[in-house]
Amino acid sequence: MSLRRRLLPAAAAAIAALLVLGPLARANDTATDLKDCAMNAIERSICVYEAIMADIRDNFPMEAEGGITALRQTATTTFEATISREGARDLWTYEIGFDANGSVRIENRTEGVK
Amino acid sequence: MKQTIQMSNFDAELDTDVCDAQNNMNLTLKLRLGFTQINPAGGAAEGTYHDYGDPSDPTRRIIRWTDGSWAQWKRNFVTTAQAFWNGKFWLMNPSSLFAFQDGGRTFIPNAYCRMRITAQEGTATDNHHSISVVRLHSSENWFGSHSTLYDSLDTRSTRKGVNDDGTPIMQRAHVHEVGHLLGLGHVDEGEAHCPTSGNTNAAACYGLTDHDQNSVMGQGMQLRREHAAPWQKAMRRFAFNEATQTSRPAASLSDLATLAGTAVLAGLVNWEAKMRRHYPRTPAEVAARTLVTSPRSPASP
Repeated sequence: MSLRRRLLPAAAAAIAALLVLGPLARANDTATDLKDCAMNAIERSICVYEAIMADIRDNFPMEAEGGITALRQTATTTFEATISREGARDLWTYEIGFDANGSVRIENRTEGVK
Repeated sequence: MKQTIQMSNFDAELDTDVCDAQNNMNLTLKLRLGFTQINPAGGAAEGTYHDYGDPSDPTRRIIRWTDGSWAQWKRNFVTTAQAFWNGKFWLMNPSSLFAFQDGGRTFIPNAYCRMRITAQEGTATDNHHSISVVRLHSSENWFGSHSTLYDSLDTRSTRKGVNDDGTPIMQRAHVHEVGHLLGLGHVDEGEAHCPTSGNTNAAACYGLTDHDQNSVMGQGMQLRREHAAPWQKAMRRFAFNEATQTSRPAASLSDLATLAGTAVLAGLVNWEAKMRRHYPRTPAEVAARTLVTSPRSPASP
């Protein structure tokens, strides 16, 4: 039996399990995220960027046709998002707080324009 | 008589020759725009250009303009922007200024607000504004443009926002930009979330409520009476000239003081904008603040 033939049934079973356990898996996402945020600097950065992107999605008052064209750290707890649209680039600056349990939170957002 | 004054952003022409019992004077704002092509470097057919012309921003693919595409783009820009702004406002004359006779009767004209845009080459010396334009490659659907750097898609209707009920708010960018060229600011300028002391290009300045977002100086295409401000500004200049040149040959502060409290002074200040046609009025109708919105029949008093 080829490797491919041996793996196919296993893959099918895994997909079926995911379909059944999907809601459970999602419920555990938050805990997993907190653990990942504390794991190392890369994971912590990802958590920060995800929090900022979610904040932009929820609060940016226009359709920004150019999207988020830059997202960078400018100081230890300061991050800057550039949102490009017709006429101007919005520059939203975030102050981020890091909790001992690994979670990150947006402490302040300043809206400016470049 | 036709007279022209030069404002900071445009020229304004007042034509009283067209006045009769049915027609107001024409107040035409004239905007001469100088357009310059931006083409790929080195004469190539294709190339790239940075959003906003800023090397720190992403690049987009651009192609070389042809004579035909350039002429068509400029023609489309002028035709559509002019159609949007031309003939949408009437300014109510509250004074006796510019009175004329028709059929032995005296009438006071209002000002019919018109707009004339002329597209010229960027090298012309009398441009009011200079604008560079990139021609986007067919694979691109967006470019970061601003008030002096456009792209070939800026004349199309684009979704800029969403109403509370989920319906899209559409806008043609060049129409909005012409509003700026006339001196209009964003819809929420002066509000707490968009202080005039800061950069009024911030997203919040384009409106937070559906009503404000749908303004042409927000994210939409709706004209409002406040958008008549450039015409009102020009009209006040013409009214001042009329008041000081016809009734007060030597204009001075003391001349203005003597006008205080008269209907003439109102003509220097208050030119209320309407968005439907209003006809010339008799002095009695002006005094009674009667508005005339239907054609006057020859037999009417």
